Amino acid sequence: MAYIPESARRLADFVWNRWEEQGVKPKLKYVELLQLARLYLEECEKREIPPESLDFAEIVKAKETYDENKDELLDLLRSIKLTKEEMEEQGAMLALQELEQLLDELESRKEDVINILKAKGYTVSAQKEAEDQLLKLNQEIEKLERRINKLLEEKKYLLQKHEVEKARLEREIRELQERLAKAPKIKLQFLKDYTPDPRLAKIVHYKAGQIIETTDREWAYDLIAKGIAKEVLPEEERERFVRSLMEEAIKELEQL
Amino acid sequence: MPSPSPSPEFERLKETVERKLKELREKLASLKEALF
Repeated sequence: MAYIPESARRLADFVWNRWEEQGVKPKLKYVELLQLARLYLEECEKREIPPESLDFAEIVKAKETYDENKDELLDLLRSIKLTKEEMEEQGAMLALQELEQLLDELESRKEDVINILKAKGYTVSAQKEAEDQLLKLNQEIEKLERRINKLLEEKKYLLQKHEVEKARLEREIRELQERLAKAPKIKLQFLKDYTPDPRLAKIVHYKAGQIIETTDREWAYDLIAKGIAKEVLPEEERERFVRSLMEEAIKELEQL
Repeated sequence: MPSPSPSPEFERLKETVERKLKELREKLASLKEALF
């Protein structure tokens, strides 16, 4: 997991404790709330919004999932202030929309020229008029092409930035997948019956005492933090093994 | 005197305009995809 600053932890703890006091059962995990708090602080900094000017505890909703909360949080911050990059993107989007509209108009005019000529019959004067209109249209298309090329040139660095960002994300995903494949498993013992999703109760249900192994450390630590499970340490395993041997030996002795 | 079909000059111009419009449409679509 990426580094979480202390301020984000404090913010997440504050909200988590408040939900616990209110008896609220959140749809999101503690680690997800922590990520949201980190995102909130980072985005506020990017947009030069003082984080204390908004109420994070009110923004984040226990009844919503991590993704829903994240979308709403970003929408809210964007509505307050756009980052320089978002403004650039918005400008590019508006320019693109305008160019698309112009292109639509030129296409529709081309259709009109063809249809009018057809309707008039292919007389010499109608053909001449249609040819003139197509020549004019051609000039306007070239003008539009110059504007599109200019936009491409202006946004070249933005396109390169997107490519670099895409490559970085792909690399990170690959690295994470590799790390996950090599990640040591955590052994967990459930301290109580646990159903992660009530809709799937018949399929995924853990019994108190049940021991499982997982590479999903975030999930494991979340369960440990909530007191649902505990990590089974190697010493405990040995102890349990020795205890079972002793119990068997005692039984055998009793039968003698 | 009307002719039964458009002149070759008209056809040539029409094809040029259509080809250029198609190229611009593709250029805009790829720009949009790359940016957003």
